[in-house]
Amino acid sequence: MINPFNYFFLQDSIPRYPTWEKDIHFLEDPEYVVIPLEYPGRILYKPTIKIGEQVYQKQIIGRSSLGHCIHASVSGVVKDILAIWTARSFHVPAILIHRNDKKAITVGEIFEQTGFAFESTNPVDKLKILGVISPWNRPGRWQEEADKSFPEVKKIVIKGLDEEPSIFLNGLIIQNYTIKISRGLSYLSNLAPRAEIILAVSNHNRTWATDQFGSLAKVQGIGQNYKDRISQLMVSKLTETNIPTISAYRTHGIAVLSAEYLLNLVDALDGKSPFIHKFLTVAGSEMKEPKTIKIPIGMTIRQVLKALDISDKTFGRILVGGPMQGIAQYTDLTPLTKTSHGLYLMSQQELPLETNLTCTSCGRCTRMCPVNLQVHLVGRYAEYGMFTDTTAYHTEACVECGLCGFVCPAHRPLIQLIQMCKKYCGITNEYPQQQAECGATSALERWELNFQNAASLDSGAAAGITHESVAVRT
Amino acid sequence: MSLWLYGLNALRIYTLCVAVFAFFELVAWKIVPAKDSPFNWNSITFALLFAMLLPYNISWWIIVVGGFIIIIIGKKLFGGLGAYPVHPVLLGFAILQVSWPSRLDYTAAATSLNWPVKMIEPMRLVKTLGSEAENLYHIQDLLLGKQVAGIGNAMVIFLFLGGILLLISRQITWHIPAGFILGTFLTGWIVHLINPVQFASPLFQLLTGSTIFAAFFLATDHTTSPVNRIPMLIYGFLGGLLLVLVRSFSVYYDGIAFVILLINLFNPLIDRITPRVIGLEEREYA
Repeated sequence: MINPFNYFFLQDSIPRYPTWEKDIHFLEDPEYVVIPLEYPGRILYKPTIKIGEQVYQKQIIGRSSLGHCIHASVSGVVKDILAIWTARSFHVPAILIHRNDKKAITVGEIFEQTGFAFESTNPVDKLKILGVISPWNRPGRWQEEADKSFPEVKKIVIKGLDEEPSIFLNGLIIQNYTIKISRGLSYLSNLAPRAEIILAVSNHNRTWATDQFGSLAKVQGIGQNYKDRISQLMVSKLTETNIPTISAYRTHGIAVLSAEYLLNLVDALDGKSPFIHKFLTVAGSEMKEPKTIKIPIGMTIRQVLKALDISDKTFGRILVGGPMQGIAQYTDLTPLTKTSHGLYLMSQQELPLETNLTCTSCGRCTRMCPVNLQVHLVGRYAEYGMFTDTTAYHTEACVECGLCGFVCPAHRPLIQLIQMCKKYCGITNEYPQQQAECGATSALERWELNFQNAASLDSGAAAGITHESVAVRT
Repeated sequence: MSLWLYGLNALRIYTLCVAVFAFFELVAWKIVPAKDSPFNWNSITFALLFAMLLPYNISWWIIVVGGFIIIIIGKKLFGGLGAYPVHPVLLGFAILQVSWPSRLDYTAAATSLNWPVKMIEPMRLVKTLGSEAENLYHIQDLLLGKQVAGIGNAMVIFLFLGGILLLISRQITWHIPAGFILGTFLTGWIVHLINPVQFASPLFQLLTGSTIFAAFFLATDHTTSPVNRIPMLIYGFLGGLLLVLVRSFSVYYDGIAFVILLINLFNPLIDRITPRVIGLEEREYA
């Protein structure tokens, strides 16, 4: 049912969850995983395995030009390497692994693959090999990045809270893995002895966190308000530096890490495991309590929902991320990667009937904007294709928090319009995308169909996949 | 409220306005289909606002002409909802007021009514008698709308409640009404101080004519008002200031249409006062 009052009484508050499940659920390994090899703007891995090869859990399956590695999150057979669309709508190569019951290898064996010994490797290289991208080295999208030198890390901000109102992962991690977080903090102070470590936690956790981590880091409480939690603004405030939105934190000597990152860092430096598992929160307006789960990287949304027993009738749209910054998914076969922190299942009622109506210059977006952009003007310029005119309004300062689109009574895609302006004017901290056209939307579906028909899959000739068709850009 | 005060005549004007406006909107949409569809209630809103400004014995053809001016000329020719530079309703009303002043004369219209109040438009009496005229009106009558005006633009209390509803529902913010009322009050006070015999007191300015109606319903039109907070206050204040000046020093008794049209034209200029963007590079400030 549509509530007519929704049209008159405009909402101004962000969905809040008073309660959430305090336990972290561990999901079983899925039948297959799809592991993307590129995180655009950050890193591109070259596969080190071939189609048809047996891989073991934790084994290195890809390596970047600067030596960063990506690992198989389950043991199985590599069935395919092909370009797919990721959750953030990037067209990237990915590896498809079908699970079998082979055992995982140990970290020692990973290091044998690379030719180093675990004990004698320095910590930064250990992180590189175990898939944890540290602020002390560049991810390696392009070769020339290696030559750039950065200022020393002066301040490290650790996010023990979550931006999005429907995600509870970092907050739960610091409560559930207190010992590991303490270890991680002491590792950090060894890695960067002169750096000041700031731990940002939710206000209601503050006294507890001060007791636990007060000796290792400076604990700062942040309010429940979404505006206070927007990453870029929060970091600027905590470190008392003005960080222009278009430049990276690292160019200002600041490293921003999350609590989940600390767990991976501890696992890697202890030699326990590479980064192959991801925490994420599944929330939705039809779900009573948001649930935090731990999944192997590359599990698809469909597998997650099946494992959690969520019927597709309870939601109308899937967002990867939260309700504010999440990205709507075209298909539920999208794999969840290292950058997917949550799933948000929008119900049918939440979806607006009409979208992109005329802008009436009501200005709710502009008044809501945390960085004081003239959003209504930028949106209109972009609507009529006048992208270059928007530079006068400093679209580059946009932190893409999604508040403007959230409050818009005309349901205009304001954040997407601003992104278009930024892309068009070349002011973006992502690298230019030059991705080849190919029928990649079908890759995920083909894999799913093939999986249902295992016989045709094993013959290897399904859907005309040959080794020659695999082309990975370098 | 209009029905209680004016009976079926008010209903006639409201229904006729809605029908005429919807008709013109549909015709315009048939000729030039646009994103601004006739089903977004905008023309209905305009129809109600327009109806509230009219005297109760208005001829039907004035409404038709008004509908044509408001929907076709005022709104659609400028690009529809979200694109018109001045409020179409007030543009139409101003054109009608200039073209057929006798047809839109509230005082002349009210002669056939038999209310136990002074049956002359309050601001008109102030023009001739000076501030003495205030004593001829009771404040309860003014608040309840028992004063000579359009069928819906002078019911101060009820309009105020409607404005509060708009505020609660977040359709408008408090800045423009507050600025408008403050502007009217302060300017009215200054003018009254300069010549207490000739000019009405500030409270009288607020309670008569369309002041509250303009503050909450006309000046706050999204398209023609600023969006930033400080410009909204300035815009409202300017509206109140101009209202008192027009009432005091021009030939018009109420002049609300001209005031709102004038401040609408100031809107793009005022809205250039914007807060500083956070998160720019340092050299931007140097």
